[in-house]
Amino acid sequence: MRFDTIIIGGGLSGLVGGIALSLRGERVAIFSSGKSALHYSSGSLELWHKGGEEIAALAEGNPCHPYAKIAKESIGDYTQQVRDIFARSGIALYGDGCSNHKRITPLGALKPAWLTMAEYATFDSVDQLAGCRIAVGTIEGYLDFYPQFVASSLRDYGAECSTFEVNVLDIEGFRKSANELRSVNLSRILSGDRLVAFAAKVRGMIGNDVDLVLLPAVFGFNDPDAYKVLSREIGCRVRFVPTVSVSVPGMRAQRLLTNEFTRLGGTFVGDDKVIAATIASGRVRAVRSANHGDQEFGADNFVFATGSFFGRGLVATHQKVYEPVANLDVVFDADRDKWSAPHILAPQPFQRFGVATDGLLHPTIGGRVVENAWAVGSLLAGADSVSEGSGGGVAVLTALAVAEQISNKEQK
Amino acid sequence: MSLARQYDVIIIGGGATGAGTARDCALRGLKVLLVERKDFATGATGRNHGLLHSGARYAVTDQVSAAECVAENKIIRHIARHCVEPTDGLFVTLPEDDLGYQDTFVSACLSAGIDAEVISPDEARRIEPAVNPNLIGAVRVPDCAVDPFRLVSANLLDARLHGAEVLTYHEVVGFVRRQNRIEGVELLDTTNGQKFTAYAQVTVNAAGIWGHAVAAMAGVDVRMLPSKGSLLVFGHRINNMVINRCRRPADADILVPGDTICLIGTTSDRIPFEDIDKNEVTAAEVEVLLNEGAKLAPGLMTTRILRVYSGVRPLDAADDDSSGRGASRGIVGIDHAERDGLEGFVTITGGKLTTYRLMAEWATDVVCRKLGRVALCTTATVPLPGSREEPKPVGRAGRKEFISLSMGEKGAESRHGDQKKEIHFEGVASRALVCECSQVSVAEVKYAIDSLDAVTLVDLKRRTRMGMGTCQGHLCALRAAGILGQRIGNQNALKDVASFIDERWRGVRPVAWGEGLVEAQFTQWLYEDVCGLGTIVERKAEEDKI
Repeated sequence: MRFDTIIIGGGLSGLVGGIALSLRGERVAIFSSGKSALHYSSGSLELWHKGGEEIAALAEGNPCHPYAKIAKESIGDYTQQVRDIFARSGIALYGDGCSNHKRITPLGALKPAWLTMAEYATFDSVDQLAGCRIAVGTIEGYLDFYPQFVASSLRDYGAECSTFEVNVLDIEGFRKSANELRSVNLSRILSGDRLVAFAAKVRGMIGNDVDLVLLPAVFGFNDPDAYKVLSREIGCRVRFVPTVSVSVPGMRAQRLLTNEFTRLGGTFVGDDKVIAATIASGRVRAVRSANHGDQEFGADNFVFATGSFFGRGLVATHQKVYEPVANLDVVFDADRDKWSAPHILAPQPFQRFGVATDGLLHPTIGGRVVENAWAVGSLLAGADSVSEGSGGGVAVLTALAVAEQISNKEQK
Repeated sequence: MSLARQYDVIIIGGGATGAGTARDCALRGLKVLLVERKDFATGATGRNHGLLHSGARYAVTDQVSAAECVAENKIIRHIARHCVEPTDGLFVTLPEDDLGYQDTFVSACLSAGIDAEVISPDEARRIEPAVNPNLIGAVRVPDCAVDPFRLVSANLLDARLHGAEVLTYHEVVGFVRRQNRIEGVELLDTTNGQKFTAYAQVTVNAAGIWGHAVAAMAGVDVRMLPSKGSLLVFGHRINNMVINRCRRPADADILVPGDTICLIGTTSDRIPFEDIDKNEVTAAEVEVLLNEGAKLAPGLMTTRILRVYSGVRPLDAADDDSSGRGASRGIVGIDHAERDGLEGFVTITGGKLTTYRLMAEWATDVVCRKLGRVALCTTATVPLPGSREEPKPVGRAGRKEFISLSMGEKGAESRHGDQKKEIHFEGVASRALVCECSQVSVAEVKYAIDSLDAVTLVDLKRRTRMGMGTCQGHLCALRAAGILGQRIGNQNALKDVASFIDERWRGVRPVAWGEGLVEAQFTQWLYEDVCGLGTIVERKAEEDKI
C-alpha cells in the first residue's frame, strides 16, 4: 500500500496534521496505537502560560524549542486553522486565539488556557468570579471529582459557592456495582431521557439563586451538546470542570477528529502500532506495523507524531533514551541522575527530552537529516509542556507547520 | 497550654517493638502511653523485607537468634494470622556456590529447631517456577511473608482496646528527670506545635536507631551501629515462596513475595548517625540488588521495578564490623538502673521484626518487675484483633459467600481479617474503589481514618496498602484526599496530596526509567498540568505564612 503521507501516531498532533493534509487533497494514512494524551485532556489547549503575544520571546531565547521552528507570522493563520479543523469536526472551541483565558482545574485552581472546548467553564479574568453565585455538584459515589475542592478555591476569588451531590442510583442503568461510577460509564448512562431526569434532580437541589452550575465532565459520551441540554433543563448556565481520570470530552474529541479525518478520505489504522521503518539513502521508504506482519506501507512523506514517554514515542532504559520506530536521534542527558528533579511537581528535565530536529522539524539519524520525515508534537525535544503550559500549542502548531511544508512540496 | 498526664509506663517509639510492648503492658493491666514522633511503622519496622524469618538465615552464624526466630515464627503465624502469608522459603545453592555449605546449613537449622528439608532441584523448580533453573541444591524452610504495617496496627489496636493511649506525631523533646530518676517525658505535638508533659514510673526507649539519641537525651549512652539496608520493589509478584541464597548472609540474597509485588534485598552499609533520616538509595545499590536478585530469580531482569527504599537497622555495636552484616541480630534489653544508676528508664533494641513480640515480652517483664507488679505475659497465645475468629471454611458454602463480596470487601477481609466487621460496607458508594491496584474501598479508607488514626495519605497507605501498587498512587491520592479532607480540611488535604505523590516519587526516582518514567510523566502531567496542584500548594503556603 502506498500513500502520499503516513502519519505515525493518532493523538492530537497526528489527527490535526492528518486533517490539514487531507483538506489539501493529500492521500494520508494515520497509524494509531490507541494511546493518546487526549484521553486525559483538561479540555483546553495551552499555547504558553504567559500568553500568545509573547511566544516570539520564548522562541528567541530557546533556538531548540519547537516554537523556534515555526514561522512567527504563520501562528495567527495556524490558530485559525485549528479552530476550523475542530469546528468542522463538531468541536466548538472558546478563546480568541491570541490572549489566554482561565480554566478551572479539578482542584479549583485557575490556569491559563489558549483554546478550550466550549462545554468547559472558562473566565476571561478572575474578576468575573467576584459575587458570582456558583453551585458545584457531583454524582454521589463518583470519586474522581470533589466539589468542595473547587468551591473552596473559587470562594477565595470572591465567588459565592455551594456544593451538592446527586444520587443517581435510582436512575435506570446504574447497576449495583460501585465500579460503574467511573466517568465513561456515567457518560454512557446519563444521556437522552436519563440526562433529563438527572437535570430534574439538580434543578430540585440548587434553587433559583444560582448564576452558574459546575459539574464534572462526565456527560456526553457521543454528544458535544450535553451541556446545552443540562443548561436548558436546569434553567441555568451549566459548564463542566475536568476530572482527574479518563476525560469524556477528550475521548469524544479524539473520536470526532478521527471521524472527520476518515470522512475526508484519510485512512485511519486504529489499534495498530508502527514497529519499524525501512531507511535507505537517508530517506524513510516504508514502515511496518504490529498487526500487518511483513507488509510494508510506503509513502513519500512520513510524520512521526508518536508522543513522548507516555505515548511510547520515546523509550527510556536505565542507560539511554531512544526512539523505537526508526531510531531517530534523541536529545537526552547522558547522566541519569540529571533526568529528574527531587520534587515531582517541579520542572522535570526528562520532559524536554525528545527527537532532535533541524530548523524545518526534520529528524536526524546518526546526525544525518532525514529529508522526507518530520517530527511533531510532544515527541520533539526542547519543550517542557508542563512547566511552560505548551503541550497543546506544540502539538497543533508543529503539525500544521509540517502539513504546510508537505503540501507546498507536493505542489512543486 | 499545659496538660499533665500520669501513667504507669510511657513507651517511646511506634515501631513493632514499641507497639508490641504497649500491647503487652496493656494486657498485663498497666496504664500505658505510647508516643511516636511520626506515624507508626515509619522506621526500620516498615522498611524491611516483610519477611517472617524461619530463623534459617541465622542458623549457621547465630544459633540463639535462629532459635528465637523459629519459636516466634510459630507464634506470629497463630496470633497474627491475618498479617502473615505462610509461603515457606527455599535456600538455593547456585553453580558458583559451595554445595558443601548446604550440609552445614541443614544441620545448623535442625539443631536450632527449624524444619529444614533438602529437596531436589527438580522439586524446587516445580514448587517455585521463578527460581533460577540452574540451581544445584535446595532446602525448604518455614519462612513466611508478613505485612509489618498491619502487624503494628493490630498491636496498637489491641493495646487501645485494653486502655492504652497512643499518640502519633508526638515527639519526645526532653525528659523530666529528678536526681537519678526519669519521671516523665516532654512532648511536642508536631501537628500543632503544642508542648506538654506526661509522667510515668517507667519509660521504655523503643525508638529503634533513634533510641541512641533518645538515650542521650536521658543522659545515658546506648552503643548502636546504624546499618542501612536497601531494597527494590518489583511491580509483579513473580515468586510464591521466599527465595534465599544458601550461603553466608550477603547482599541481595533474599527475594520475598508480598501481596501483589515482590522485594529483593538487602544491602548492608554502615552509615553515620546524621544520615539515619535520609533513606537514600544509590545507583550502585540498585545495580547490586538487580544483578544479585536476578541470580535468585532471572525473571526479575525483565520485571518492572516499582520503587526503592531503605531502612536503618538498630544493631548492637558489639564489634567493629564495618558493614553491620556480622553484628549481632540479638535482642538488647538494658535496665539503666542496673547499668547506669538511672531509675525509671529501660531501653529495648536490636532484634528483628520476627522477634518483636519476644522483645516486647522482655521489656514488659522488666517494667513489671520495676513496678512491683506480678502479671504473666499472654501475648504468645492471645490472637490479635483481626485473627481472633477462625478463618472461614474453604468449603462450598464459604466460597460462595466470598464470591458474593465486592472487590473492596475482599480486599478489606484479606487485610484486616475479622476486624472487617468494624468496616461499614453500607450502600454502593461505600464499596466504590479508591485504589484499584490494591482494591481499597471508600469504607476501608473511612475506617482507617476513624479507627486507625490515619491523618495523612501516607498514613492511609500504611494501613490499607493504598498507592503501593503499579500506579504508585496517582489515581487514588485524590480520591482518598476527598475523604480525608472532611477530617483535616480541604486545603490541608490538597497539600497532603502533594506530599503523598512526592513521597511516592522519592522511591521511584532512583529507578525512573521504563514504565516507571512513563508513570512519572503521567503523574506530573496530571497533577501539575491538568490539576494545577503546585499553584494550590503555593497559595496555601502563602496563606500559612500570613
